[in-house]
Amino acid sequence: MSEKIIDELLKDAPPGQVKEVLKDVKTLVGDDAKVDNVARKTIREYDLKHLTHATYKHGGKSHSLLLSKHAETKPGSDLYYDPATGLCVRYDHLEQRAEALEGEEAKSEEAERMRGDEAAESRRKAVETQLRDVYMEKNYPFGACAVYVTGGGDLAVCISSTVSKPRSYWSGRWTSEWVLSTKGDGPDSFSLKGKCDVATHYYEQGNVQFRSNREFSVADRKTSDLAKDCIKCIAEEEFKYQEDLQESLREFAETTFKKLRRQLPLTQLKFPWHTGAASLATELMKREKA
Amino acid sequence: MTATEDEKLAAALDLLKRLPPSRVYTYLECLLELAPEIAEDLLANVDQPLQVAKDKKLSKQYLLCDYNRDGDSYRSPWSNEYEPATDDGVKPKESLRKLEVEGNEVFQQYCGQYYDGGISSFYLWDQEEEEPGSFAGSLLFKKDCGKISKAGMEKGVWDAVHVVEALPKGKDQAEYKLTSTVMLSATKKDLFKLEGNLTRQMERTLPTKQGHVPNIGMVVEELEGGMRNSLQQVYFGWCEQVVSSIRNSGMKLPEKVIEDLKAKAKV
Repeated sequence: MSEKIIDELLKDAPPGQVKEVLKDVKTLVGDDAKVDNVARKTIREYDLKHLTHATYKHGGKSHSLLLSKHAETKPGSDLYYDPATGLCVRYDHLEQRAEALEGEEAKSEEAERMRGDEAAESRRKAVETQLRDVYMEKNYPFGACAVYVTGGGDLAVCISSTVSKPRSYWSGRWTSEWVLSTKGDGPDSFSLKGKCDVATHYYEQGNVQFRSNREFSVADRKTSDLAKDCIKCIAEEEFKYQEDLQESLREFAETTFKKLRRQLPLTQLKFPWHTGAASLATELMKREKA
Repeated sequence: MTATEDEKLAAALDLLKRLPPSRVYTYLECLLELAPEIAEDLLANVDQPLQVAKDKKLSKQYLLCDYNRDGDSYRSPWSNEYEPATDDGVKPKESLRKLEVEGNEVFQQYCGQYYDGGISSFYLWDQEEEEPGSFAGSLLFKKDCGKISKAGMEKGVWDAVHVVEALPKGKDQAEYKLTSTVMLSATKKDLFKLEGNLTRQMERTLPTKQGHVPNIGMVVEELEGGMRNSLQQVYFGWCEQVVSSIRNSGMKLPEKVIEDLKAKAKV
């Protein structure tokens, strides 16, 4: 029975706080091996769902690895393909450690299979370059991205940005997942389907959580430069979404929030605790309403 | 090695500070099953959204919480009766009940002026075993606004739980220790859900000749006003800033801006 409970508590961990939640669950259960056993699967699902951003070293350099279902070489294998380097990387979801396969192991068929054909790979590369060098740089200062060739020959564009500031008690995450399909050899046109997820958490003397998501669909856009046009389109949609969020938050603060509790009574004075003026103020309220 | 009860309680409270407040019931169930030995301490430390009931005799609404509960029954602050009726439900002694009646009248007016249509309840219990003449109470406010429906786009719910301890100080003063939690949820249809709680504390020593009810009222008014501003900052200003710091919408957001906002959000 406690397997279900362990899963329930872990899967809702706020951005960047899986390790802290895991530690609490272990304290409560008192059987680390049992918790680890459940956690391996739950955290794996969590990482793929929220596009967890890991890093690994190869050739003396540090590389980003986005965990997503598009990167899985085989379901449940913990081996992920990094399209930017063409390497297979082993990721330990419990230890949060990534390690590129070396030597014989590295020459896997999986990596070959995931690369796709030459035309698709060159299209992928162009979109990736545009995304990384133009869009990410400006808009996601802490984020990482990846572009994959999917089984159906489409491109999957993933963006993930998590900021965690445990010392100031807050964290936040933005993830985007877009699928780009094309028509014609040029290609001449493209369509996009996407989803953005936003979550924030504030936990100093409290617990405040923000959740939002939006789905997008853009059909049949003409193009002469796929990489440039599709990233521009993603940028426009995401910008509009963020603008809507900001406007709605301000509007809520100005309207509904004000109706919940006033800053001061209508009299513009604090409550008259020591005089009989309370009833006068109540009278004023009634008149205002009438 | 198994953890002590204190360690388990600390872990459970830490979890509840991290996991989404909207599912607090589910998590409480999980935690109570994992560590039934901490049940009492855990429930006493966790604020849950306030439920509304109606005093059948006087046809007036009141709020349910752990402080007016006895078994499965809740005591109405208006009629002092338990619903459903119990033979042995705990009631405050006469002098405290008198104060409770006075408080419910006054805080209903306070509620009308600040909440414009909210619901209030005030409950007292004695704490003589701690110190002669000391007592404790809880003052609750609830306000709903808007709805999510075909036509409704926004909904807000405010639940305030003020727990106060009054301790006599010398002959003519009392110390009031207040712990306040406001649970606030803000929902915009098809766009966002923002929910959670903030807790703040305050202590004041005041002359008792002014009366306990006005004294408690003044302390609550001061802390609640500050918390209202904190909530506005943390919920709306803060949240917007955090989103902009993750995905830069063109606004410049150095860490300093965020630190400033945090400073402002503190009471």
